[in-house]
Amino acid sequence: MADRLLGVETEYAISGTLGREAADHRVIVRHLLDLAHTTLRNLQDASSSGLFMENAARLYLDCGMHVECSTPECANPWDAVRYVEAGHRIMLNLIDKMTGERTPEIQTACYRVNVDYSGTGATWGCHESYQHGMQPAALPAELISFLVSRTIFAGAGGFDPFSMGLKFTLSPRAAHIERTISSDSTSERGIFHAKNEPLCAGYNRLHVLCGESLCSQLAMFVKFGATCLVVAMAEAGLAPGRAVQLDSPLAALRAVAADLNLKMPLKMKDPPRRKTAIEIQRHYLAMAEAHSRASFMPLWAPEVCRQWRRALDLLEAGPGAAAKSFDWQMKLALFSSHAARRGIEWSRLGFWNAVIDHMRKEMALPADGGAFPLELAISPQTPIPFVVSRLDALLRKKGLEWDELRRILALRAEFFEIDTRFGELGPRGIFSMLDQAGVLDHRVSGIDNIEHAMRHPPNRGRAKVRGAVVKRLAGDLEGRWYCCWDRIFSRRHGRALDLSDPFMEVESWHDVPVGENEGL
Amino acid sequence: MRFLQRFNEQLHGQGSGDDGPGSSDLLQQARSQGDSLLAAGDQAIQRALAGSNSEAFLRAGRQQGGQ
Repeated sequence: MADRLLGVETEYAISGTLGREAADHRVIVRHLLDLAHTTLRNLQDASSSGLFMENAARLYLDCGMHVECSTPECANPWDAVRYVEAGHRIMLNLIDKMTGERTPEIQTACYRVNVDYSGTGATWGCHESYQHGMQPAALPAELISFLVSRTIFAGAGGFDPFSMGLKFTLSPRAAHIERTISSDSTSERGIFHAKNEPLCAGYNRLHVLCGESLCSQLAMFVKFGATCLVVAMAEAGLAPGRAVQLDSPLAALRAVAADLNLKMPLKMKDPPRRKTAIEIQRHYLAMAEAHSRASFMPLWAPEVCRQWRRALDLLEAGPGAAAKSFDWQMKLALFSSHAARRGIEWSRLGFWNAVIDHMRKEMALPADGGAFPLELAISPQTPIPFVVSRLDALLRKKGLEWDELRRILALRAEFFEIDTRFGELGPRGIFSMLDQAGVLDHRVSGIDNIEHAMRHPPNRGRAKVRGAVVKRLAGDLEGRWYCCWDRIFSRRHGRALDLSDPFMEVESWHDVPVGENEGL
Repeated sequence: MRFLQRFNEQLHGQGSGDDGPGSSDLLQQARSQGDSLLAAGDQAIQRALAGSNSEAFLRAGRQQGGQ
C-alpha cells in the first residue's frame, strides 16, 4: 500500500476589543507570537518571524496579519484532523494566556471563518497540501470537477459576502474564487492553484486553496481523505476526472454554492449532458471504491470510502439527516430557526435577495456586500422610479410589504455575527456549545488524543524527526537553531539536519559552513 | 425553501407509514435529536449574542485579506 502525506494550513481571524473599540490588531498579533516563542518549546522559523513547534507544526504570521498554523505532514486523514484541532487548542491557550497575563484589558477571540462581513471584501484561507509524484500539469483535468462538487460536504456555509441582501451559500469563500486555474493566492484565486512548491525532494505538492475552515470532524475527514484518494487515482493514471468534465467549472462552483437542495444539474462536456454535484462525487467515489485495495492506494482507503459514502448518503437524504453532521447544514438549520424567531420568513429570502439585486443593478451600485440604501431606493426621490413602481405592484400582488425587507436588512449584521461566532474557538463558540450539548453527530472514530498532538509529532516521516529535534534543541538558545520544512540548521554550530525526504525516519546530519549569517 | 418545514418533516417522518417494528424508537430518537439541535442552537445563539452590538462586533473583527 502506498504512503501519502498531507497537511493543512489554517489562517485564523483574530479580533480584540478594548472597551467598545477595536483593539490594535498588530498589538494582539505581536503579543500572541511573542508568547508562542517564549512559552512553547520551539525553534525559530528560518523564513519568517514564526516558529516550528515540538509537534512539528508551524505557527507564523501570514499575509494580511493572519496568524496561521500549519499542521505537520500527516500520513492519514485522522492525523490531519487531529493536528488541525491541536492547532486550534494551541491558539486558544495562547489567547487565554495573553488575556490573562499580557493584555487583560483586551477581549481577544479567534475564529474559524474565511470571509470578512464588515465590508472589506477580504478573505483568507484554509489550505490543504497533498504530496504526489505526477506531472502537476496533468492534475487540473482530474481534480477540478472534484473540487467544485466536494463543496456539498466541504462548504463551511454562511452568506455570500458580496450580496447586499442575505444570501445563504454553502461556501462563502466560493464568491472569492475568480479563476478556474491560477497561480495567485492573494488575488484572482483559482479553483485549482497551479503553484508547485514541493518543500521536499522527489515529490510535488498539490496546494488546494479553495477550501474553508470547518468545525465538523466528518466534513474535514472526508474532505482530506477523499481528496487524497482522488490524487492517488490520478497519479496511478486512472484519469478519475475524465468522465466528469465540467463545461464551466467557475459557473458550476457558483451554482453548487447556491444550491441548498443539492439538485442543480451542472453542465458537463465531452459529451454534453448534466450531472448534479452528488452524481459527480458518486462517480469519483465509485472509482475509489473499485480500487480501494489497489497497491497505489493508502491502507486507509476503504475506511475513507466508507465515510465518503456515508457523507453523500446523509446529504442526499435531506437536511434533517445531515444537519447534525456538516457545517453548512448545521448553519442552515440554525439560521432558519433564528430567522423564524426574529420574524423573518426564511423561504422568502430568495425573493427579497432577487429584489435587492435587481434594484442594485438598476442603481448601478457595485456588488460589494455593503449596505443597500433601501430608504433612498423606495423614497419619492428614488433614482429608479419605474423599477420601484413595478416592484410595488409585484409586492401588492404577492401580499408583501417593504417593511419585511427593512427587517431583513436590519438583521443582516446579526446573522453575519452568528456566522462568525459559529466557529469561534473555545467555549463561547456556537459550534463548541452545540458539541458540548451533545446534539451533533460529526465525530469520526479514531480522531482523539488531541492534547497529545499538541506536544508530540505524528509517528511517521520527517515530521516525526522534526518534532523530536525541535524538542531536543529548543533549549539550546546559544545555538541559534533555525527550522524550515526541509531543514534544521545552526550556522553557529556549523551543523544541518536534512529533512528533504518527506518519508525519512532517521536523522541525517551534515556540516555547513560556520558563520555569522545565521538565517537562510 | 421551507427548510424548517422540510427539516421537521424529515425528522418527524411524515408520510412514512411503512415503518417496521422497532423503527418507532429510532424515529423518536431522531425527533428528539432534531428538536434538541434547534433548541440548543437557539440557546447558543442567544448566549453568543448576549450584550453584543453586531455592527460594532463586525467592525472590531475587521480583517485584511490573506491567502
